[in-house]
Amino acid sequence: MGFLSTPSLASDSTFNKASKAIEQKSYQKGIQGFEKIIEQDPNNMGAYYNLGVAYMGEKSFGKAIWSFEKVLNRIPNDSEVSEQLEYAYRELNNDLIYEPRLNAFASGLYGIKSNSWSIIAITSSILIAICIIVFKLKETHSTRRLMMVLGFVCSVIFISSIILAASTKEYQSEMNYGIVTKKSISTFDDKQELNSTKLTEGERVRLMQKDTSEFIQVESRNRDVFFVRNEDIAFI
Amino acid sequence: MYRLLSILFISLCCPAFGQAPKVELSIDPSRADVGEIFTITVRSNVQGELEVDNKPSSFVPGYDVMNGMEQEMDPNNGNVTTYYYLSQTGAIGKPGKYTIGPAFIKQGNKVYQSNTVEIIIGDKTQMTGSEVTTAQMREDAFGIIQTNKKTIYEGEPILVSAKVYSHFDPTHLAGYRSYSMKGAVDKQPVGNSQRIIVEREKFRGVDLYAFEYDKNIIFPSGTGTFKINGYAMNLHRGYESFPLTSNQAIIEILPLPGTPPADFIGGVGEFRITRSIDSKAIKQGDVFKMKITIEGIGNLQNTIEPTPVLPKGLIVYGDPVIEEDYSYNSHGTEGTISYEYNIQVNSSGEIEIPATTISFFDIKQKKYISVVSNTEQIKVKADKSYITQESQDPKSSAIEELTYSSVLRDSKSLDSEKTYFGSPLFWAGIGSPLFAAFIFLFIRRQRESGAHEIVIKERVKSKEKELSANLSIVENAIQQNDDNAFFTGIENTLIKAFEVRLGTEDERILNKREIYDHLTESNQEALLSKVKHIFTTADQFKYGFASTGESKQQIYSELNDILTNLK
Repeated sequence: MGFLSTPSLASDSTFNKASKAIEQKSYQKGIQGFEKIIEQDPNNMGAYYNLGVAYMGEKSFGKAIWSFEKVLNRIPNDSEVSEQLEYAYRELNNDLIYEPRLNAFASGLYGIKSNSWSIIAITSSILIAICIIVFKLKETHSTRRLMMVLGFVCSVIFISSIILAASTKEYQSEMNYGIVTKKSISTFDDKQELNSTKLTEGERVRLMQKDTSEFIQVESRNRDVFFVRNEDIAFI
Repeated sequence: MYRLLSILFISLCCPAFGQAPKVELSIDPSRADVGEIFTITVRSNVQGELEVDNKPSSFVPGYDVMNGMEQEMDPNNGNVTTYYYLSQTGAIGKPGKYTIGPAFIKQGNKVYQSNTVEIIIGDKTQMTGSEVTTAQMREDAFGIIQTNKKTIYEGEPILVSAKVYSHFDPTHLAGYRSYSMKGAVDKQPVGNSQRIIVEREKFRGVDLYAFEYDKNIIFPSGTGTFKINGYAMNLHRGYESFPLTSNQAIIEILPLPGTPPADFIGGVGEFRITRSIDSKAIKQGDVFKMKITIEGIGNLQNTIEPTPVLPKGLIVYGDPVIEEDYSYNSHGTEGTISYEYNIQVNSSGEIEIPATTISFFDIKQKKYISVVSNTEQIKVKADKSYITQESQDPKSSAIEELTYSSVLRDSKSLDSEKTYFGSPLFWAGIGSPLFAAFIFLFIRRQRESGAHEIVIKERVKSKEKELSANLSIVENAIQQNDDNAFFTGIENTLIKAFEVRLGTEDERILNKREIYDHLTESNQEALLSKVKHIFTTADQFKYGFASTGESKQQIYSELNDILTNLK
């Protein structure tokens, strides 16, 4: 009956093997396993997290940061991942410190999916409609006043949830960031002229263009814009 | 010959009372090429006649000799010691490994001896020059930039020098502006002499005077194609000056291949690692020193600290004490960098300290090489009174602990869900209830408006009925000759007729003034006079001024005229 085994079962087995390898400190083996899983299932956040732990064990902190950022991109309110990121930056021992892309309040809001915010927006619009109808039908002053207050609250929720649904969608689909995964990388004024600035491992850069060519234009945390080699950056 | 160069220390004062006589011999760099200048230094706290033994027969002394004195204070007891030094440059003309020294200082009847030093002299590094044009060849003097390589790896040093050719025998140079490279460049002089050493040399079949100048070992940063901008100088033959500017040289810096190992220290060249501890039998809670030494040649000064992996129970306190002892030569930086860690032992028993590994990139083999230090075994005597403290230092074996403390996660695949925001479904979802509410409001308003019209119509109808009833009263009053009922009926009929005409919604009864105003505003002067006439006749009758004599029939017909007009 072996031929009936599904890809899911196979990847579960790979997942367990890779996890076991990390527990036994065979980080390279673990990395290979989780990279394979991610290739098959790019939405497996457990695999990204464990891959980050394996990279930490290998002291490849830039790559570990990339893995954890991938998790945080989908689950912005994952505090454990934030702690790991903070730890990775500390271990890098350069002048970089972990600066979350979202503050605690925003990460809580962005932790709710865009679809959930959309449902809240739709529900609020239904409630607003009900408030309008009841307000018109009922003659009593107290009921009308209640409907007016409820309608106002629902309107605020309605507008906020539409804004948050849009922002969350944009955040989750945002692919504009990259992490430097090498110890130190060179930057270029254009694709030939070398810039004196060097970017160190773990630095988060904003991609100025979506390009897959050898050089890519990025903006550093100091707002300096220059070209770097595509191979030196791992895209979030 | 070197014996001839041995000189007397110059000072006669300040004998170093209370200090043990010390004579040190050193050489910098410890590796050089044939003909490359190096420096031998003798440093001592005693004065006397100096003599250096075992000088190689092929040693050629240079022109640069320096001597002087310096004072050092012992931080432990505050004693100040005066040291005298003598430096002599020179070069060796034959490859090989040479031992120089010891140096002797003769003071009265006593002779003090120094250590010996070793120097390895290698074959002359082959240098390649930049392009020279025929036009340049025709000039009195021209310069090129020489490099030992055209292509190097990132982090690898490159030897660069200025080479000058001339058709005349130059005496000296002035106004020298060195070659330069863009970007952060670490540039260190190698075997340079203060004076120019001119030799005859054949260049492209032409016999020329040539000399090398401003030789530097350069550690460029970054990768890609780099331009070394030319140098400029005024070459002199006596009082005559010949300005020259060299052309530029191009070098290619390749990135290191593949992904470096986790223990890569950034070294490019050849490196070794050794490790030692100052005590192998210690008591629980005691601190011992562990020294890791990186030795080698390449970009040693740019390497990063290795990460010692310590077993549980050993804690590193603070940052390591770093000692650097290296010099620059034609092949890069050669020497040692040592890291001394203070380690506290928290556990007891026999503890094995695993080997420390480092990786570097070997240029010859073009791959990453991993080297390992020795392992050590320490015996720790248990101390029951000792309370184990956990490390406050995040760097102490932190990485090892991390994986244990990190709970791995289970497979959790998030749905690559379609986001509905912005889709027609979303806009329909939020739009439909609001649209429905507005439709409701619209219908409601329409209904309310329809009901209002019905009420008005009913009122008009009732007023018309009242008008008919009043007319009947008037007709009956004519037949019964009842003046009072007639005039009251006339007046009421007229008012009701105007109420119907003006569509008065409520139960309000119009007064005469409102009727007059309406007729005046609508420019119905004829009708106004008729209405006024009827009202006046009725009033005259009501207030006792008696009838105007007009027949009721005539007033009634006037009333009918007005009603016809109003319809």
